[in-house]
Amino acid sequence: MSYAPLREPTFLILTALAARSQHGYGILRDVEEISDGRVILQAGTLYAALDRLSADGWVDVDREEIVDGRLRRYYRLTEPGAARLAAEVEKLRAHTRVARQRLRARLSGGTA
Amino acid sequence: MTESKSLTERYRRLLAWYPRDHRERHGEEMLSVLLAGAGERTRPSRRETTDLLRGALRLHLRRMAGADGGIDHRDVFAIVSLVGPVVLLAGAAPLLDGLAGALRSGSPLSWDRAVEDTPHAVVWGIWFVVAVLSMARLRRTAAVGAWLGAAGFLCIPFLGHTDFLDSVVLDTGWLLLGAVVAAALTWSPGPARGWQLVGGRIILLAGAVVTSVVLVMTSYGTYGVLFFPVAQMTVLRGPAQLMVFGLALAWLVAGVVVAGGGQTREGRRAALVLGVPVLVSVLMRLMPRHSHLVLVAAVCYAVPLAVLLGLGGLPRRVSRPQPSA
Repeated sequence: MSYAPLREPTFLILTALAARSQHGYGILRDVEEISDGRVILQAGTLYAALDRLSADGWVDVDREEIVDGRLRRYYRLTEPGAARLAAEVEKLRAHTRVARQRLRARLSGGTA
Repeated sequence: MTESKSLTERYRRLLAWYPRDHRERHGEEMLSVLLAGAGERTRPSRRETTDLLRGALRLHLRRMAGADGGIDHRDVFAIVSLVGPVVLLAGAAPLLDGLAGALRSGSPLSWDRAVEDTPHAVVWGIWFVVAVLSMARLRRTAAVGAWLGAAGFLCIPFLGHTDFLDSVVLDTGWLLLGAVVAAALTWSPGPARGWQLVGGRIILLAGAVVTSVVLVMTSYGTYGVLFFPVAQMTVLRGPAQLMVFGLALAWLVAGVVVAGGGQTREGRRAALVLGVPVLVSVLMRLMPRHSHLVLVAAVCYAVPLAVLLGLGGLPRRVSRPQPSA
């Protein structure tokens, strides 16, 4: 089955939730870390993405906590979400492999 | 402390732009995230402000388009396919008023006028048959009739005694709704599914349509759907008639909302689609007194089309109880 490619923030949010459930602020920090500081998500972008990902059934609420009088809601990756992320990783891996082969050919004396 | 409070208030003001259901579900949570990332700031950064406003706009658009997955459009149009033909019959009020007037007066002039309305009578006759077929859940036959009826609205300007542009404007609401009903009968699950969703409430709607027609006949009569702004109509007929006419429209809307099912998102969307003729009627009366007919036509077609395409940004209800922060 073919999917439309995931946008980078979506890919990073799903990656942040792949290993464990996280709350909103945790996802923001993790996305920054995963991308080596290149992608800094803002709250508006994060929650618009979570709204869509929840509607698609790719993420779900895991649990809720009250910390210092404030609501903290944890999100987790669902099975369909994990499958979609895995499919994207496979696609990227295939593209990367081809790109690497072509670059190697170029470096070993091939002409354009 | 005051600065922190002020920052909280500023964030709250930005969050107020989000759709109501999103605020109820994620408002406090987003506020926590924003405050956690605010550091020493006393006011939201420009980047945060832009991002929040863009996020709010995106969610509003998603809900308007029904792209949040919360609406089954097939059910919306199934309701329209059953209820729409009955609602359309309210448009026959001026024709019925003309016939009633001819019967009362018996003058040859009145009868001449009634005969001139024959093209209208044929079209409304078709829609009456479509309403019966739709109630009998005969989808395909009703769909054929509905396309004929919609085409009839387009032909009236060429056949009737009214000026072409006048006719195009006067029948705007009915033409738009007729086309939507025909499409709904053709491509939606049809009146059988609509009946499952609406049930006996269709009888209430039929009652509302009859009442609305009677009220239109006792207020502006044959002028009920004509383009006359509020000020002009009030001068011609008096404020009492305007109130009765308003009551007729309100009664029709109430019937549509109750029949469609105001408790469900599908029902509310269906009511929005079915309310197009009422919207056009109100728009016609709100237009300035000496507006050019081309402008009136543009507004009366563009606004309902925008509503139909956007299918309205009615806020979603939040069924889940919210945890207290």
